[in-house]
Amino acid sequence: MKKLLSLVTAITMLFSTGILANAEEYDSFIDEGPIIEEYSYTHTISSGLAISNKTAYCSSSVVGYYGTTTKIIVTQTLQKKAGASWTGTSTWTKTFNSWYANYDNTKSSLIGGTYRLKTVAKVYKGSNYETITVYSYERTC
Amino acid sequence: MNEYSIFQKALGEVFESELNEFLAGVDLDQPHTFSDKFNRKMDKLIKRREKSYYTLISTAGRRVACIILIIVMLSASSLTVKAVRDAVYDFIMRIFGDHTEVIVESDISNDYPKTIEDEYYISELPEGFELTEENKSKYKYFALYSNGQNYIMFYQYTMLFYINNYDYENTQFKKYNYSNNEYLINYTKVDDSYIFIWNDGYYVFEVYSNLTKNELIEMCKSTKRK
Repeated sequence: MKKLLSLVTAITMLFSTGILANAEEYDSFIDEGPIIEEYSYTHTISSGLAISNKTAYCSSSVVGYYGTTTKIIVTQTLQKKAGASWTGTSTWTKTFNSWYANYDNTKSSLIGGTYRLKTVAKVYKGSNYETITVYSYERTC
Repeated sequence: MNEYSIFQKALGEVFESELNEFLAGVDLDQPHTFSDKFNRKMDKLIKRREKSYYTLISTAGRRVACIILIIVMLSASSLTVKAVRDAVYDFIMRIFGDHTEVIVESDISNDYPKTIEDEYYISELPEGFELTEENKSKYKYFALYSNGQNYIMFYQYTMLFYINNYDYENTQFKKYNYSNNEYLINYTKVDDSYIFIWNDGYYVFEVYSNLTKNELIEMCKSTKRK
């Protein structure tokens, strides 16, 4: 009887924990790194990577501020994991004379391994610019 | 022979005679008739014992434990129903020093289309807006509308592909609920614009615009499949 009640209580607590974890999805944590003054001219930036049939689909989007951002230079680097570090396998760069940028590239015949897309954006307001680096999810080929 | 044993003997002789009188008056050939209430109770006990799960409910404590377990299982199973699950598993926001990262909760993202199978669009655009740019890929769709002064930017992503980083210093996030859908709203004073982010259980959508919040709400509600 006591064993059965203990089991039921444990299961109840297990499911309650799952729900509470989702209830806290909007809680945040602060990165311990130094505060860098970026995102003055950048509203959003994303780095997306998908791998299918040994082909990498690389997609970067940068949206600046309308009326503020004047130019965006996007550099994509497809990186492959080598031990504890990452090595670049392909790099693409394009200049967008606009306040937003959407940049897509593909790389086929990938060798097996773990990849990620590094996106570096130089976002301009006139002659001043900021450099922001973001990474995609890691994907396996 | 002491006094106690004499008393015992006398007592036995008295009760023996009374017992013999009683037995003589009892008709043992007539079977006893049980009451209806007793019979119903006995039938109920017999039927309960015949059930295959009798061992689980044989005591009051076990019956209570079974009821609690059923309630817990029903609560958990409701989370697998798509509409209910979406309300619980949504976007995850992580705030760093200068930006907020927004992704879709990973437990559900594997169940949805891996590529864009259905294209969506904003079906009710304000007057004067025209499509000025469009960009399609397997995992992302982009459309830009403009009336020369204001803009509307529409993104559609697959769940697996979606990750975005938002300026933290100059913007703020709020949540808005409408018709069983939850929207994340990002507002910035820099160009007085909003970004609405939501998902319909299949794809993630973003609408950027410097129109009013109410106009954006109407546009988001009108987003549908082509």
